[in-house]
Amino acid sequence: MTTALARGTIVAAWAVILLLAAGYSGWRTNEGSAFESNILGLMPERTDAGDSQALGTLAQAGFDRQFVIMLSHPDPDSAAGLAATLRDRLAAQPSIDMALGQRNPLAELREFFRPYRHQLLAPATRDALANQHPQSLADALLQELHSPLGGMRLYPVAEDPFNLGGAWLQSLFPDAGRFTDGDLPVLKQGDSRWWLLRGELADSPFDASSQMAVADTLALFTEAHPDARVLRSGLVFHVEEAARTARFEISTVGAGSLLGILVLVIGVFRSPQALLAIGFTLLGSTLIALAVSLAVFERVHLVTLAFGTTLLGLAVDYCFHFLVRQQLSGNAGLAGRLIRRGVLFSAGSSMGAYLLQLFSPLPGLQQFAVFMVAGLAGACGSVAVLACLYRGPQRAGFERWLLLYPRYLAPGYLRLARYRRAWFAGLAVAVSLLILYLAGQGGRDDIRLLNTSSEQLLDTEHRVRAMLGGPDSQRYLRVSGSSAQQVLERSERLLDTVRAAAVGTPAPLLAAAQMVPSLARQRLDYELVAARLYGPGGALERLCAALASDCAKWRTLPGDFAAGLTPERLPERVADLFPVVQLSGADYSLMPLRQDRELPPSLRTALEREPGVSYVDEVAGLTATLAALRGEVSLLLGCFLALFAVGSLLLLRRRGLLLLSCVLVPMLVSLALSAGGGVSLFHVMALLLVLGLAVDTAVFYLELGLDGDSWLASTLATMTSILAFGLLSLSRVPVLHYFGTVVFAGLLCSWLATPLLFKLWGLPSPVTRQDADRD
Amino acid sequence: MRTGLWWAWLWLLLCAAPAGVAAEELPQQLASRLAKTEMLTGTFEQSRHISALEIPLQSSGEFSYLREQGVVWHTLAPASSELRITPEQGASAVDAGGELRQLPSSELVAEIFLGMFSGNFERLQQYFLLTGGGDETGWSLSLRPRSARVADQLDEIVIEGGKYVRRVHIREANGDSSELTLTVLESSERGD
Repeated sequence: MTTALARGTIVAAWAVILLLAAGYSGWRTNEGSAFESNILGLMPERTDAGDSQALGTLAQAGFDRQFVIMLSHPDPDSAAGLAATLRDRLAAQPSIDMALGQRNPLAELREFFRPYRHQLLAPATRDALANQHPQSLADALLQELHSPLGGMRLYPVAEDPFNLGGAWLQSLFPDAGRFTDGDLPVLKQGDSRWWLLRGELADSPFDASSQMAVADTLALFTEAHPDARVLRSGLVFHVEEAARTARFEISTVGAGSLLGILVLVIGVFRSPQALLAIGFTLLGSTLIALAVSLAVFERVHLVTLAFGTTLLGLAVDYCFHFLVRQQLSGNAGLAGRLIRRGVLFSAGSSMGAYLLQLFSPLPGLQQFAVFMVAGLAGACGSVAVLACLYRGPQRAGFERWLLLYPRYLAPGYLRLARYRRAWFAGLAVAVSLLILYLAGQGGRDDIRLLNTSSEQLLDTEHRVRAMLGGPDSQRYLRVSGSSAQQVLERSERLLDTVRAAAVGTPAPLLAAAQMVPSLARQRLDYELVAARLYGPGGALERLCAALASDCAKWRTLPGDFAAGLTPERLPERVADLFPVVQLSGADYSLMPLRQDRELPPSLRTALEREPGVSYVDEVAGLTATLAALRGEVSLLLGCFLALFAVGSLLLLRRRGLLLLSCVLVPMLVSLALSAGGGVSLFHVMALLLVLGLAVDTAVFYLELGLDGDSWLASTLATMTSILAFGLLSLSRVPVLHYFGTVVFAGLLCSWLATPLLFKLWGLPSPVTRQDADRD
Repeated sequence: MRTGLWWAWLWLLLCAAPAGVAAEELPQQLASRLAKTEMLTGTFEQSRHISALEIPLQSSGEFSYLREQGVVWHTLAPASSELRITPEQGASAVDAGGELRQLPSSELVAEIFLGMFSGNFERLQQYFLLTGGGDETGWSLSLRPRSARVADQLDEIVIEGGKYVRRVHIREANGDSSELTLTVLESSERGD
């Protein structure tokens, strides 16, 4: 009676937990902010918070909502029409604004900078004014005035005869002349002409409806016009592809795992009750995993869910062990008691392996860990409830599955185990060779391992950026000073140094000081203009003499020096047009490199010698972070293995050596098979899972004996996991691919090698006698 | 009665319209005519009106056009300068050292000049609204910007010609203007 009451309480409590988990998950999902596809969510948090904040301003200013599409067609005459069609279709979407492409930055800036046009000099103009004779400057202007194209300037000749303001603005946008400004801007690149479409999303690029609006419109267009070449650039395309990939992989791995489980259960147990038990375990495990993840994290990444689908394969392990024992004894309670120690030990080691990943600074891996630990706990709880509830029949045909190992496999393993010395010697040599091989492979810490975008999308993004120029947000000089003006002056010195090094035009560096020079530089330029152009004996006087005109409307420099041009007073609409201006604070400024440009090492060293200047390469920094993490996690794994070895030997003595070999062999083999290009952080992380899963297999054999029953349960459990991780190894996301590959190889090796190692160690197995009796 | 008057008025309008090719057909006919031009050389006279100067700036020089290589515009007086306009490089000025310096709005300028000599109006039509009238002996074509960006710099370009281009009038958005008069000295066409 008491037992029945206890069972009822367990079942009721579990039902309440599941209901709560389902209700909470449903509520969070319906809220619409439970999941995210932002690839940045997988990246480690930056340590340089100041720069991170500054770089973040670009996103805050809405640049993450902007996108660029470039269109080309073999028939250039029809390309303009196609580009206009695509623009109109995108503009017809309520969540997309295509007016961005219609802005004319130079015309907008012209109006703002009009009062300052005589104190802002392009570097080439400053050089000319400083170094050329006024007569030479007058002659150059005379030539220009007689040119049929002399009127193609930003400020009219009457306002700015020397085109100082126009040349300065054009130096800010050196690529503007490459565009032909028709209905849509067109860029000529080699033999191709590219029509440029710029758009902006009304909402965040992580908003699913915004993603669909852009992606669907573009997909329909490219389908209808297969000859058109379309290049895309913008966060929205990466986010949409990441979300699509994750959804596809969740459904592929999930469906594959479920199908495998279904086939195994129907084939082996042939009972709807067994199928229900498996379904119950999967449901409980998934619900708990999801609810706990949503409770711990504000948002769960879709890649976490893609990885989490492997839980399906792991969660059923305990259920398979339970079902096999239940088939043998016909008593669910007894079956539950028989596997309890094994399940607890096995789940504990797996959870420990996952929990170690909480030490990783990668939020993605932390989410994986929490999801899997909660899921495994859910699976254990479900099996405990099954032990109270399950009423499955004992199938007569089930016996033949139990004979597979003793009749067909055990003799083979025994024959192999006859050559113990040769095996141990071979194993020692193989392990040594594997270690040498892995040491030779070295590390692989490329930050692109974290990338979720396809090669094709990265290539198109790169091509667009290379064509349009613009700042590279990953490489920059950080300039600091005691005030904004000192930072600007230091930035100007750097720009002058780069210009003097003649490393090509336009200058490889972008800086706020290019748009808002320091007040000291503005005043010097104003004085230079006043003296060399408008002063006595200056270029204008000489020009007027050549024109035989009194130049009454030009003669004097219009206005005094205007002191109002400082970064703080720059309106947002102007700063928007030169985003680099926003990479500055009161005492620092970031000077990014242009896309596809390099600083020669000697020049970089010279720049870094300037006071308050440091060079930052985010990619190299993140790569170094990954390398350091790999080192730390490897050390952690080593310590864990040492502790595990000591614990096993103390608790299990000789059997501990067996357990250790059952763990080490699959770990080494899986690493050697999958680390062809070097060992990455993710290989090491995946090894933790191999460790946990290999312990699973070995512990059940140790606890229950290596016999037909335990081998069958272990095989069923391994098959579903092999299927899940095998499917995961096909993932396009490098992190998931490496996890999948390593664990797949480790599981396969563990499944095949563990019985052999048991035979080699020659430990007595009481259950083997039962097998003999059954025969 | 009213309907009859309306028809009569329409008939009078049609009769009063200038003889020759209809406006919308002209660019196409001209295009096919000018497209035959392989080479042109000649001289030009330019008069540039700048609002800040009381008198126009006069200049003269020579030009050459080769279908494959583009246009060379050589001002000889009062100050020597050279412009090169090619399909590949756009519009560039040749400096004292012989180096090419790309001009602002280089691609747009190249489209206008190359389109004018080669008759490639299809491309010009992407940037300008083309209207005109006349026949092979005398025609006039007006180019008005389609986009605000081009209109920011140019108000209108009027090209006049007969067998070849004879006169180009460029009216800038700021009120300044230039008038180019071209005299062809040598020419060759496809099949010559």
